[in-house]
Amino acid sequence: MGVLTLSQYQQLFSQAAHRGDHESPPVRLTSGITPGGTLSIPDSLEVYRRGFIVRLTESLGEIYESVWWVAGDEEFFRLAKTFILSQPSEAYNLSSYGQEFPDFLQAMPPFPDLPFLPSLARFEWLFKNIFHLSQHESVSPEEIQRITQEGNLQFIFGPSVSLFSAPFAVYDLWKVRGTCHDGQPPVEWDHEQRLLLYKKRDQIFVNELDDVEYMILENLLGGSTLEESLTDTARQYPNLEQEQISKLFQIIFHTGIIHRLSTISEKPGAP
Amino acid sequence: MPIRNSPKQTDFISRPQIGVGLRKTHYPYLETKPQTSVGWFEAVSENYMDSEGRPLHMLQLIREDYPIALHGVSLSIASAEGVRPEYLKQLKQLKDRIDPFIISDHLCWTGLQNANLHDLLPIPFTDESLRCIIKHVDQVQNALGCHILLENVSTYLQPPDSTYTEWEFLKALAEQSGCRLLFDVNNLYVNAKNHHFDPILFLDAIPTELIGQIHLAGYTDMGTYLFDTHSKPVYPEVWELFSRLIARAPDVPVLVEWDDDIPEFPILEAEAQKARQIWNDHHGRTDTESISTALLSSGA
Repeated sequence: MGVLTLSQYQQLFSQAAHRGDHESPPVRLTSGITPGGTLSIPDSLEVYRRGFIVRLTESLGEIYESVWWVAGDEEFFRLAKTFILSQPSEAYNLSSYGQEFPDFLQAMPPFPDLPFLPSLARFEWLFKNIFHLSQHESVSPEEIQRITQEGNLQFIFGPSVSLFSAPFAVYDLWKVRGTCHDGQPPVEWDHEQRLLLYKKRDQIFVNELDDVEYMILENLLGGSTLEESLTDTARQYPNLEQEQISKLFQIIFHTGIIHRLSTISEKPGAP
Repeated sequence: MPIRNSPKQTDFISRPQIGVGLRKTHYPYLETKPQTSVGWFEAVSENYMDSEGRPLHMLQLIREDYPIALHGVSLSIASAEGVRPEYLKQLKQLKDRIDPFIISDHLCWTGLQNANLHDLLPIPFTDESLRCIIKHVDQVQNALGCHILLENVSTYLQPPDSTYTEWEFLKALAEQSGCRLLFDVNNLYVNAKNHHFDPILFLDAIPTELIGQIHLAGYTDMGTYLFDTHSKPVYPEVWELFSRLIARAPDVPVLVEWDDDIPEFPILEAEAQKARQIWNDHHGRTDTESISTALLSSGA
């Protein structure tokens, strides 16, 4: 066998690190390796394979802290290892690895006692992303009040402002992460939850929303004007009352989620 | 935007030369702006490159009072696939924000671009590797507009086909590429034990003018090999090697790293004080005199 090129060596090393527990590392690689210490050749490669799995598991555990807590060590480590070996990292930054973990959980055989795991994981990925987003300066409540009479108003939200909905009460689960439990977490989780998340003063805040509030905000975040958003919501909720809209605006004032206001004529691409 | 009113390289004159690694465990303590005896901090570049959140705010806060070195773990300078342009772009942006006095990474590859192992992986010390890394160093230094430092890494196996010793390779790389070396004394010791060579051979083979920074840390004895864990105080054998190195390299900035089982900040400071004491034992002059020289020669 001739000398390995750098590229060949790196391909073989990667293959050895990603191999399954019962597979052998490539002979083309092992035949040329000099192990460190008193390790055998396979054990010296195993240092790197184990280290890689541990490192990525730790990173997933940091992002998906509640999933880890609720699943328990043994199950989380099993899930993480399966995920890591089947979904190689394409990120240069370790903290960017794991976006597909919620989908991976969703595709796994159902967790009969913990059906909320994929939703909880989605919430945690979103939470992690918001943590790294920039904060915005809020439009003052006075400014909002002054011009909200205009129907063709478009709200420009801060970059961290996000909506999240799930068929389970994932925020309630997340809040009690770390507490003792024997199989089932100590909260009522079997109901839908709609959430508004945003960042202020270096902290992430979460507000629970009702269906109407969620729909209006979803439309506004999607770029609809206030008038369009209210009209659309009223179609789905014919009994929409002024009081509900007022309550939503109280939330908007209180949270400071609006960064800027513009009229429809300022819409990108508008003449 | 560059940070205003923060210490520049010349401000080192009034500071001692020993730095410590900046870790999030210590943010709450450092946020109170305590008086410390450390001269500078080294921040892991990737922790701040893709974030506009609290980590970056903390780094900017600390930069108001201390010089900062940026130390990466993901450059993958020895990857046959090349350096990722998006990584360089993000690093350059962070450099422009923080104005670091050193930018460094490791002499290693970290995995394939579509299967990153996020580890500091060993390379064969061959002419091909040398040519590949020299090309990448040139690319990185041009993109960043400054010299970089590359660190010798701990390894647990030696890849096939090496034709250089590690120290021959490091020396050739620094001489031919224009980068400088981040000399990790702990990694030197770990490799000497793991690969059965005399650490003094390595230590004495590297001309001090090629060394731009020194790292100190603790390893873990796994029984069958030494593992670079950065989870313990610096071992006496490593202090001895450091002492031998610093005797002939008085002007090189020194950093104490601690990444796992991280102690309270004052314990980390005390470890840095040990390094300073050894430096004083050799040179018997004040730290401030040496640092001004270090900064003038660091060139980053």
